[in-house]
Amino acid sequence: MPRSFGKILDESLRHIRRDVPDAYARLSALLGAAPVAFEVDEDTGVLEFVGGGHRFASTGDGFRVRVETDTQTLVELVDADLSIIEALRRGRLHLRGRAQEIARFDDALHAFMAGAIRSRGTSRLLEELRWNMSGAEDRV
Amino acid sequence: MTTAVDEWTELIRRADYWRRSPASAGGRVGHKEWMHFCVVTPDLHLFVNFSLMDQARTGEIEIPRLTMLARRPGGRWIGDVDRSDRAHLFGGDPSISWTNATLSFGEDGFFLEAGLARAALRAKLRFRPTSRPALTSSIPIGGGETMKWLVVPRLEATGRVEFEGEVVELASAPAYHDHDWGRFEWGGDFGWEWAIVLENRATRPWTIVLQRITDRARGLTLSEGVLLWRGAEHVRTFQGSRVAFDSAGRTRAAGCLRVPRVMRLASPGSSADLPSRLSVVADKAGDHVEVDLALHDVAQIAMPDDVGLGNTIVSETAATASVRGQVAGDTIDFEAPAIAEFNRNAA
Repeated sequence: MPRSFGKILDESLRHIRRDVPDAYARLSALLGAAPVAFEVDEDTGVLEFVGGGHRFASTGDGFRVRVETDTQTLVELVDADLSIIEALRRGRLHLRGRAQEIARFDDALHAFMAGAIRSRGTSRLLEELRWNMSGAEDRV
Repeated sequence: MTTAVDEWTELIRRADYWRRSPASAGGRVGHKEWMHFCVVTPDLHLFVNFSLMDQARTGEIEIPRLTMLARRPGGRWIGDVDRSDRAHLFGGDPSISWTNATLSFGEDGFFLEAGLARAALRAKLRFRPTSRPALTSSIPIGGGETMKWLVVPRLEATGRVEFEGEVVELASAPAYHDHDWGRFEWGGDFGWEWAIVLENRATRPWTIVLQRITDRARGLTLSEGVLLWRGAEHVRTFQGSRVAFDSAGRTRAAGCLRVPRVMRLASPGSSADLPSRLSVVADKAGDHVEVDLALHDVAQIAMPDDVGLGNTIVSETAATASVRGQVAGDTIDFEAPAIAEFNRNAA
């Protein structure tokens, strides 16, 4: 049974908190007052940073940015087969929020990536995303 | 009877072994080491790099990576960086292997077989040394750190390279190998410019290596030099105040191949701080040489800095070198394909 995007994101954030605390602190500072709602495939949730840590809520309306995409798009972004601009243009990635909140989310994405490329176990999580993607294709 | 090749082979066997991280025996973390092979022809530029690097943040030691880049005419680049969990080292010589990557060494020279998981690039090549290996003294790279550098400036590469389904057969193609190691941090107070020019003619071809190491801001030169070999023989090294680097123009890097591919997302800046011409003039005791490199296009290797959250970009550029001069009694005047490499901060 593939794990949901939210579970994989949670584990990657735990890796970053342990291995790259400066990246995690930057993420926390950027998103502390700006929860992010996500919908990836059929998994939905709200990521928020509170009290030096992060947590997920299954629903909520206090978010500042909403992200909608699918696993295949995420994998293509990570593999540089697709840029964020292209994904937005093609309707494979939707970002909703005020302009300054989107800009803050972009900064947070870079902080997340700075942590992800330095932390242990991230490549394994990416393989898990790929596996989820191939599993979805197999199911089709 | 012992031949020169036998002597060089023995030198490589004795000197070109993996130094390994001190942390593998309980010492300090932070070791970086790689063995680098280049093939430079008008039809193909190929880079294959086997590396073992510690990651001090996480305490991981000797992370094996295979980096491969290749370029065909017209500026078509492909490549990637594959990370492995564990390398198999055989002790006391250059041999190393992990999944999809093997480097071995024997009487016929280096044998390399490597392929990428997510890019259609494979190489199966034998590299026969045709020049004497040289071990340099420690190169200062700022902050009290040094890097050691062993070079086999010219080899002949024979075998095949598969490039997106095309097969490129190589027979005694001009090639280069170096081996670098030390304890330093990516993102430290250093940057470098390096180039290799491999003239391709049958007898006593020229091989030229240019190198300049500066502080990160490029305001202070820590070391610079031009090294020349004629055939197998090292004939001249120009250093210090007898060497002048200059650069002009701009090579566009926006949208170029950047590996590992995840770094396109993690480090999206164009890092376009690259010239379109790199010129070096050197003279000493009546000898002089001028090397003018016209840089065509670029592929980049991006690495997370060890300190802070920035990134370092190593740009590999395909170039054409025009070389003129008078060295060791010979007049030099030729053009040849070349490679220039730039180590910079990510933009």
